[in-house]
Amino acid sequence: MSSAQSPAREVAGVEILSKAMALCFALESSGELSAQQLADHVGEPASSTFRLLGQLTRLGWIERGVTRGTYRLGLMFLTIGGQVEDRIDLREAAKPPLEVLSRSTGVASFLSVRRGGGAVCIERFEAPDVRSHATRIGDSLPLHTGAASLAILAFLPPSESAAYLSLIGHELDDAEVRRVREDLAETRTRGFSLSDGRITAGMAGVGAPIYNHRGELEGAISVSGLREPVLSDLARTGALVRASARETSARLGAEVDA
Amino acid sequence: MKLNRTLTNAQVVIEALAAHGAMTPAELAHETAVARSSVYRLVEGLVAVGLVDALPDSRVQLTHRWLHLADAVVPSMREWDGSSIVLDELAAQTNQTAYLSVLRGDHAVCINWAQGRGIDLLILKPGHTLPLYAGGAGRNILAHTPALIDRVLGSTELTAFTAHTLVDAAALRADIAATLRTGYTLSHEDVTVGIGAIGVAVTRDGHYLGCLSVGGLIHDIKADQDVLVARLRAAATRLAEPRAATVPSGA
Repeated sequence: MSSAQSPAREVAGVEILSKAMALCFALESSGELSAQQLADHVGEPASSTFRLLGQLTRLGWIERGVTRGTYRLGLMFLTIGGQVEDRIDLREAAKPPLEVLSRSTGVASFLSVRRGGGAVCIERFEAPDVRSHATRIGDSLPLHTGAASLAILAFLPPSESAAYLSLIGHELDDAEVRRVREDLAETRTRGFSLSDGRITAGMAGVGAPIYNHRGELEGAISVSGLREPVLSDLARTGALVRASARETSARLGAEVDA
Repeated sequence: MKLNRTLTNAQVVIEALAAHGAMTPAELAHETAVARSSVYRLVEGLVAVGLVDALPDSRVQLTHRWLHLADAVVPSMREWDGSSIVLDELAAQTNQTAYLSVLRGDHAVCINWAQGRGIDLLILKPGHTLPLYAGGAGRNILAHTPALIDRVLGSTELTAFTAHTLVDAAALRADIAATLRTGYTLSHEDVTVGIGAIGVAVTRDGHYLGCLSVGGLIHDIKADQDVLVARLRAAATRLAEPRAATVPSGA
């Protein structure tokens, strides 16, 4: 974890808090540690570390590990973290990045999530001067059709995307399945999906995946509009969509590269 | 051992922010009955360690750092290594949501789950808790923790979740006896109307480690009760198999 090793600034009167969290962060990165290992880690005397461990055990911040004489993080972090997670709202997290994306690309932007074999649009922002009727909130497209769908399908765990592809193999002919596989491979290479005229002639879309704090795929951010504004500088559109997806992931608690 | 005041105050401030979301320090002081000057210092200390951040409108909130701390908890519980596979298989076999819960303090805390295919049950999920008089997990843990029975049954604060919640001592004693006699605990809409669950004990080397349960629509749970109990017992036996890590040394 990034901040585990960096000593926190001490705030007068509550120094014990930074000492306590230094122990918890050490356990977060190491799993189980003995009192002596913890004392060495935080650079405090064993006796005072041992006293603090007693306090933290009583509070439930840490607990005894399975190896004799070791400690591990307590379930307090699980219960508080669970409540923090409950407050995260995917749509609320995506709204500001989506709005920026519509303004910067000049086309409509969408938040979509997977539902079974399809991607459902759950939020959208209009471009300032165009209103397209392509995708409305609640609309669903199969996972192999459209920019949002392809962004989701391309970044699903391999077993799940393979299961979906074998399922559609019964409905599509071989050439179509081959084309979907090529689309997915390109999407993974580029880091964003491209759908050009497949849903509506003259329209194009670009999508990128979003992730939660556990690194699980949550859905996709995409844009869709007339071919010209989307495709005239595809690299720029792709970069803007990916940045919006990264920003949304960060707002969900994912650790993303800047 | 006397608990350090700064740490206990930090705990109540954290719990208040977790329960209510973003608040101003003044609101926090009011909510927690911690002096306002102490709240300001605590908040500053929590910001310094990355657990709290300030919003532009002067409210403060818990950071996403908590999500990563929470994610580190269950992998460190090595006595449950491999439990995700067992839960996934149980959920797939039964089409119900499978839960693993342990005792901490006076609550059952869910530490892992595998969601069933039917409906999303959100009353219990990792990090969520149940009191020991309610739910398959809560009551199964109570039945197997004799040291807590008198305290829980003697409590005057047993709040009913539904009309089916067991809130009187005689009913809970009968329920404990039934759990120990039959080897499983049936939750019949005692936490959520329309929802049921069945819980069984996971024991290793004679220690009660926690409760394995499945939950779903009460109609499905009742209709498949015998099959579900058999599947739960088989899964609990697998969880009980000795592994490198056995039981927490302090348990």
